[in-house]
Amino acid sequence: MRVSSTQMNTSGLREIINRQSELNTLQLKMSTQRSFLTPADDPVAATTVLNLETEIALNTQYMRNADLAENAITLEESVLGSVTNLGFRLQQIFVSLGNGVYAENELDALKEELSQIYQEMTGLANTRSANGEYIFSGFLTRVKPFEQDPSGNVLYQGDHGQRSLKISSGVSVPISDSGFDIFVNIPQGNGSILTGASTTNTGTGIVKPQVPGAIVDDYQIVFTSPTTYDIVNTTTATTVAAGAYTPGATISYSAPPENFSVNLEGAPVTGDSFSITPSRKQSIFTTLEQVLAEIDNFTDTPANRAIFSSNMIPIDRQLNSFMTNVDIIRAKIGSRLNTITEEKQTNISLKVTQETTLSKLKDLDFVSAASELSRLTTVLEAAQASFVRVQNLNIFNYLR
Amino acid sequence: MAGNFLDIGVSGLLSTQAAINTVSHNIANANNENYNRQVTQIDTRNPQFTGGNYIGTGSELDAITRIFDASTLRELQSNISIFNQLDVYLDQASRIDNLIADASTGLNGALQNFFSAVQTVANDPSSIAARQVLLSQGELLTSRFQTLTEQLNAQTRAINVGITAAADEITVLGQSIADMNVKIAASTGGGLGSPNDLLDQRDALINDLSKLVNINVIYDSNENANVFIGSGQALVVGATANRLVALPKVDDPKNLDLNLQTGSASIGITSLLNGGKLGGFLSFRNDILENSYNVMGRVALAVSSEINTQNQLGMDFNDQLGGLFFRDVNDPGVMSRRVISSTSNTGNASISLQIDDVNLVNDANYELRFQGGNYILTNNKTNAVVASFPPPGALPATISVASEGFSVVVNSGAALNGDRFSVFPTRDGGAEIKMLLTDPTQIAAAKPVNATSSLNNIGTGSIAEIIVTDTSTPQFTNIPGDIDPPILFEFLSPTTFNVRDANTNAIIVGGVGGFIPGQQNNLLALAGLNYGYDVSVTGQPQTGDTFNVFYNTGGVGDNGNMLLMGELQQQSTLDNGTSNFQQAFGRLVSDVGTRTKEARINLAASETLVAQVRDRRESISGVNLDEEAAKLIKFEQAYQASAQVISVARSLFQTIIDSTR
Repeated sequence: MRVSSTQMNTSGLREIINRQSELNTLQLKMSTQRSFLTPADDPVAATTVLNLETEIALNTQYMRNADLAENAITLEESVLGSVTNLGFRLQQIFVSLGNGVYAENELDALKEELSQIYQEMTGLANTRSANGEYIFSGFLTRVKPFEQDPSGNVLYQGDHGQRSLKISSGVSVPISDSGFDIFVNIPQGNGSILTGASTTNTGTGIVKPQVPGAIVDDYQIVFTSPTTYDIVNTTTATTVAAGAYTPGATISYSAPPENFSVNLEGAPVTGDSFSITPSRKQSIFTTLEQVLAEIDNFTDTPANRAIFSSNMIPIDRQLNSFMTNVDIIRAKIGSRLNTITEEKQTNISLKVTQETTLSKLKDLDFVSAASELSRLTTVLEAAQASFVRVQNLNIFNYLR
Repeated sequence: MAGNFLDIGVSGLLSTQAAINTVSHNIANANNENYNRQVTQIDTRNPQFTGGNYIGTGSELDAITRIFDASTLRELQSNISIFNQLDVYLDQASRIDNLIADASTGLNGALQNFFSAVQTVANDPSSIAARQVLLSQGELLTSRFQTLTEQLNAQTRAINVGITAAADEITVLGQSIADMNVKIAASTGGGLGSPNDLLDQRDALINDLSKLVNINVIYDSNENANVFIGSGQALVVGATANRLVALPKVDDPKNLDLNLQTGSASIGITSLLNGGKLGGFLSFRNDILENSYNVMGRVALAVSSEINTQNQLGMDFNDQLGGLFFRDVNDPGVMSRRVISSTSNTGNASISLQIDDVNLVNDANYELRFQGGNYILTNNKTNAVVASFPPPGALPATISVASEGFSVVVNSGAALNGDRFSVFPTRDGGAEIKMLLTDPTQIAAAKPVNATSSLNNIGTGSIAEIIVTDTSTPQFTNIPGDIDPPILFEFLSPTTFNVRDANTNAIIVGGVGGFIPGQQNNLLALAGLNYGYDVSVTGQPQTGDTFNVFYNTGGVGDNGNMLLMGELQQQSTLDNGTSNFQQAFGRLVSDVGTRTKEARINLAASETLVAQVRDRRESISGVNLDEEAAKLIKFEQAYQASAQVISVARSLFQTIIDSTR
């Protein structure tokens, strides 16, 4: 083929420029350590990289959230640990009280200790987090959850809110429990019914609740003589049953859906009454306040001992319910911590996978880039050398 | 006789001289890329009939012709046209390509930072510092949208400058070609030789023109080059040239249209033009630029609309219902800027566009025409008619186009037949997004409603969830910072309950049934009440149990609404529930990347083609200096020989003169 002089020049030059452009791109890739410089170099990888970067950032955020959740839960757990310890001490005291062997002055010493525990428990229930928020007041984190009212009763001021944090896509963990759920929402009595003796009783009858039982209305067992009693529905103010009393026997009432049974022992007298009410909810503080009041009211007579015993039975059960409740919540906390640990593990291994994939897509393979660099350099040098040689070939050089 | 061969010698000298001239001309133009090498054709002169024989009388210059292949030139022009189109396209596309995916300039980083800040507020809702960070990240997000839009605007302006310059250059080149036509016509015919260099110059002009736009050249019998652009619109006919003028579009002044002006008549030919730099600008504008505006604008719309909605469903640090976080997507000014009336409209209808459901909005532009007494709305991407409606009676009227997720609002006036409106639902989204919230306490982290179970409850029923769907109901708006009325649910049996006004204890709905113990039950829904919120109760409530529902006053520790706002990052709120914000934007990255890559490959292919055709042209028409050198030697020797003939003639004459002395 016929070749023009311009053609020889331009085609040689064109190839040199092409090689230079390739070298330039390669050099940029090597200096930025990226396998592609713009999405156009590899559109699919570029989009995947964007998605991966988002996922990694989200993952990092989730791990931060998990750390925060762990801190909050650990604080709650340590507070509840102290609460449990106080509960154990209370159980010991209640057992001693139930023995009924204490004189009034001995009771005063116990009362001292009970007051101490009551204060400590209130303090624990009003725990604040590092940033000054009350951890047991639900969403009202700026409100002190347990405050004494003018009559000295500790009342719950918070709400039932429970805050959650997101610790991975699709998994949220609660990081708080409201004071209501821990300290307040405790069933009275044995969880079905609450029994008690009237303070005006003069006999020595002691009432104990039995299971099962389920009532909505309030009832009283009123003794019409030392050996007979009426069961009165005080909600409707009607006498619903009557019976003969045998000490130590179980008194049952059943008018579906209402039913209960109690155990009554001792020697009640005419006019003595015992209350049976549905088990409602009562805070541990109210329970403690009741014990303190019982001790205050106590004078050492047989009748008072019987009233004291009747009333201490459900109170003891309430304490047990409270302890069970705290245990359940601590178990929940434990499983939350497990969830967090597991999710953290998942997030970490996910992050490793994501970062490996990202690196594969995004980072330059240095070995092949280096060998490519030396290949391109050789080619460019050859192109330049041959260009100069070819350009020098010309007949005019010989026309002298 | 002697006089005769002296004459022959002279003829040889003259024709060789012409040949040496041509060789010199070739050498001189060896580096002129539009030059076609020329060759001298030398012919014998007419012989003399003497004594029964024809005796040669020497040589003469027959013609100087250029070595030229018209089809190669045509091929070269069309390839140059394609090459320049791709070159401009790739150049423009690469800018966007670099812009959108880069971590420091793209959208992804800003979106991620914004949602991280949302989660930080969720982690510690009562921290003013965390809230302040969210406000700052919101500012950064809006300014990122605006920076990206500004970059696109800058490219629009650059394209407009490029289009105007190309149109001007095309006009000038057209005029020059017309002038050359006149010169060439004057220099040909009537036994005149071929005006090689003028033809080369005209070809060079036509080559330059094909760099700007794809052309079609037809040569007529008078050697005129007639140049046509687009689908056969005449730019040059003989000695007349028309003007190509870039003017703002009548229905979208931001962009330019191209008009061919013939005398006083002007026709729009934008859609017909292709190839060359002009074609590159136009196809980039259609394929990438418009789409980039729309995709980004749509993400901005979705972000503002979704975040606003969520913030409005919450309660802020001051116990007030949350307000707008970003500017409302249906701010009246924004709505009216989405529709541009053509300047050629004869009616006075004022139209605006209201976004109803971002999930259904796609990234097309639309055209609203008034024709045959009806408004007709066409999707410019699919060319499908999406709505058609008669002029509404009472104004302003909102006509919902449910399939597209927006409504056309006719504010006032009436359109006349032929009126046109350009509708851009998403284009300006990136420019229009703006932070409204300035006070960190106005971030609505909490849910506005709270509920508790009563201490006297016997059953195990508990509040599972508060669901807030609409805070514009009277229950929320009657008393600012409270719900009206607060509610008391009172169970009549384990499966039925009363809904009471907690203030007055009046029964709102009595004896509601259908409560299923052990499952989540939405109590207000069961009662058939639509208060904009609901309370979900689970467990087994017993007769007489009550649940109180009240405004979440003081609930600064509640992060319920922020958690929901954080969920929006990964929720598929776009493309009919198939994409989240980042995915919707990511598609732009891959789309632009793919188109840029395609352009890059096509450009490389086209470059090779141009080089091949150019080589072919060079091979046929280019000057080879070695060849010219060889010719030079040849003609030099011929010249010397002819001179020797004259010398011999002179000496023969001398011999004769001497012999007769």
